[in-house]
Amino acid sequence: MKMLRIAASSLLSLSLVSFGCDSAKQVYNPPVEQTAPTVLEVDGDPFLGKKAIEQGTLGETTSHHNAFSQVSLMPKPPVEEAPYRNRRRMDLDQLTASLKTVSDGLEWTVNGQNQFDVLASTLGKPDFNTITSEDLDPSAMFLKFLNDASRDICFQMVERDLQRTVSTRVLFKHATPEMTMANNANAIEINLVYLLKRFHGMSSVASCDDCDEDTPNALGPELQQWVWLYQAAEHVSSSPVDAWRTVCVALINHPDFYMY
Amino acid sequence: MTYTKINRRRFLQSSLATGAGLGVFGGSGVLGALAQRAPEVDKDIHYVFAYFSGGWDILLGLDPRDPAQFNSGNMSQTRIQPGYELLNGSDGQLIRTSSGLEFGPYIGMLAQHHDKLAVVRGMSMETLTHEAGRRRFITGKPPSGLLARGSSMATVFAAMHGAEQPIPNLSVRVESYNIDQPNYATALRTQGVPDLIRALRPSDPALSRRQNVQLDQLLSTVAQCPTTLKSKSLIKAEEARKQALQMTTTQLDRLFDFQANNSEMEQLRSEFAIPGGSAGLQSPEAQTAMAAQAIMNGISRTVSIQASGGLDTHFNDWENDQGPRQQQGFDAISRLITKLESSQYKDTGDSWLDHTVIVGFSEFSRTPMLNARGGRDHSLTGACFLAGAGIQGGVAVGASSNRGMEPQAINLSTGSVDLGGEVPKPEHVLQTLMFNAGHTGDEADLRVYPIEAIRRG
Repeated sequence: MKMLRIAASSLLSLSLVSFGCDSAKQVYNPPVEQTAPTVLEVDGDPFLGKKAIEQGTLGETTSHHNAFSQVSLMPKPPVEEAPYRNRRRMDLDQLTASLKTVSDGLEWTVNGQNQFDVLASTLGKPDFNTITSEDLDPSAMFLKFLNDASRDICFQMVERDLQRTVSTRVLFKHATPEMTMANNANAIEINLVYLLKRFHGMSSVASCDDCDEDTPNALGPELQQWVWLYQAAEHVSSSPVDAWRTVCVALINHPDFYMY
Repeated sequence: MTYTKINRRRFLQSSLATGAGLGVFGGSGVLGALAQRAPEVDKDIHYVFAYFSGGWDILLGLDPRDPAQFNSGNMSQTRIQPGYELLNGSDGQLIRTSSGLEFGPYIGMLAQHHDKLAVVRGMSMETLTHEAGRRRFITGKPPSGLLARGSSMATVFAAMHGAEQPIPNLSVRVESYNIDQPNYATALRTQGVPDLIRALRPSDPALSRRQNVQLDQLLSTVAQCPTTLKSKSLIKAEEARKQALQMTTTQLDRLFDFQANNSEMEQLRSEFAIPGGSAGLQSPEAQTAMAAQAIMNGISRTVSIQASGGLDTHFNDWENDQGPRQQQGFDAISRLITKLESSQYKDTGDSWLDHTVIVGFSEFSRTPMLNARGGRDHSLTGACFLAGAGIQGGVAVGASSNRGMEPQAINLSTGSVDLGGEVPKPEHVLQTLMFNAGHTGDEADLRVYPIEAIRRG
């Protein structure tokens, strides 16, 4: 049984690698090759040829070769990339507020003290005495303590959700703790879509326009990653609650949460 | 030999030309002279940068004046007022060592290591602003306004030695910059030993081992996306995440848990005189113990610590606080030297001190005349001390002037005052460390020669 689990887990890992990330979004589709004439010279002057096309006097032109030459009038434009900007890490105040928002009011506290306040100087928050600007490096120290915070908050969220009514739950909003991939995959996916919107502000992950027909459920690539994580975590723990906890921790540790 | 002022292009040109000449003629010119001295080059060096925060009064430590020659009777001419008689808790006696080095009354236990110390005096920090002076020494470059230019030299040294250690560059209460060095060399910065211990402990509450692996797989896969690979900050974040993961999986926190009840920690507490209680872990003593542990256990290549703080004594806190605070730092460094010197380096017969260089510095010093409030204000004259790998012990190079303690030019080869030489600055000291590590091509863009007089030949 244990061997089977390990094998299944490995397969799930491989499948993650195979659909990795939103590759469909990254592929630049080059413009369709022109079939219309691209070079048309009038008395040896391509500019006049172009003008002739515009003026509708094409019949009066002559060409050295033929009207469907392979040579372009202009060089191909540079490949356009989707516009993007450099990411910036949230500062500690933004992070605290974001965690509070996504968790519906929870903070990372120990003995009633917010730990981001306790660790403020180590995490580079300005005191306006010796430090005047916040260090927004996504440093190892920051990521370690973000990981600590995510675990604390996610464990709190799970415990609180289990006490709450369905309508007021945050983590189990569209899938109850009893639902599994085996008995209600659809609810799991809907809940993941909801969580991705809540934590990362992603609103179009449910479907995949660019995927081929064989893609299972035609899920968007981002969603596939999270389905994999949920499925894998549920598989090794046999507990949907543990799986949602893992998903929650991953959502907070994902750069889409703490960088913008 | 006298060095003339150079720019970077001339420096490189002359290095190349003289280097070529060396091969043909067996050595002539500046590099020829350097080659004949054949200073030690050790590529397996570790670094401890000990920052004395606030601007130290060098009259009390590294650059004293004899009250018999400098006193209230002639201070209107000398513009130097040692004020030793005003100090509370000190007899004001200077410390004279057998190597000829002379120190102020608060040098403390560091004087015991006089034969290993090189002191650079009469430096110019070229600023009266804390941040600018601090960043000048940390980077070896004058800041642009208050903004540091270039990477910290601690970062540069960490980068030069590769990413073998789990935390190549560790910094406690000291700024660190990484402008142009690999991400692994970025300092792990913390405000104290307790936060470091906390950072090295596995995250809590824990997920199962397999769930942690799955979490890592997901985030690693995300990091391979084309959008991630286009973004420097996302790449940096992923590398930092992996470093954080590595730090927490090797139980390094046990090496720094100085309050733990076991024989190893008990011995460290004794060797470094770490005070009890939670405040003790923030002390200079705990920071020096941390530096020793990080270096001797192969965790870090460079460690920066704040050996002393609260030295910005503009008021009558000078007579009570300046000296003892400096001495606390000096004593802590002294214990670090003792520890490194008494520990064998990797079964080689060398000591760890032979492979570690310690640099003590501050952003500037304090005015040689007391102000109307009984304190001292900022003075751009500086001093620093070095000990350990490749450093000639028992020497003091340069000197502040006997009128107003101003910086003076020195001959970098002999270390003596020489009006035709160069005024020593932090970059000269840092270039010396570069040369000692075998990096003679001005890789750090410091644009100066090293101070040959403090290199062990």
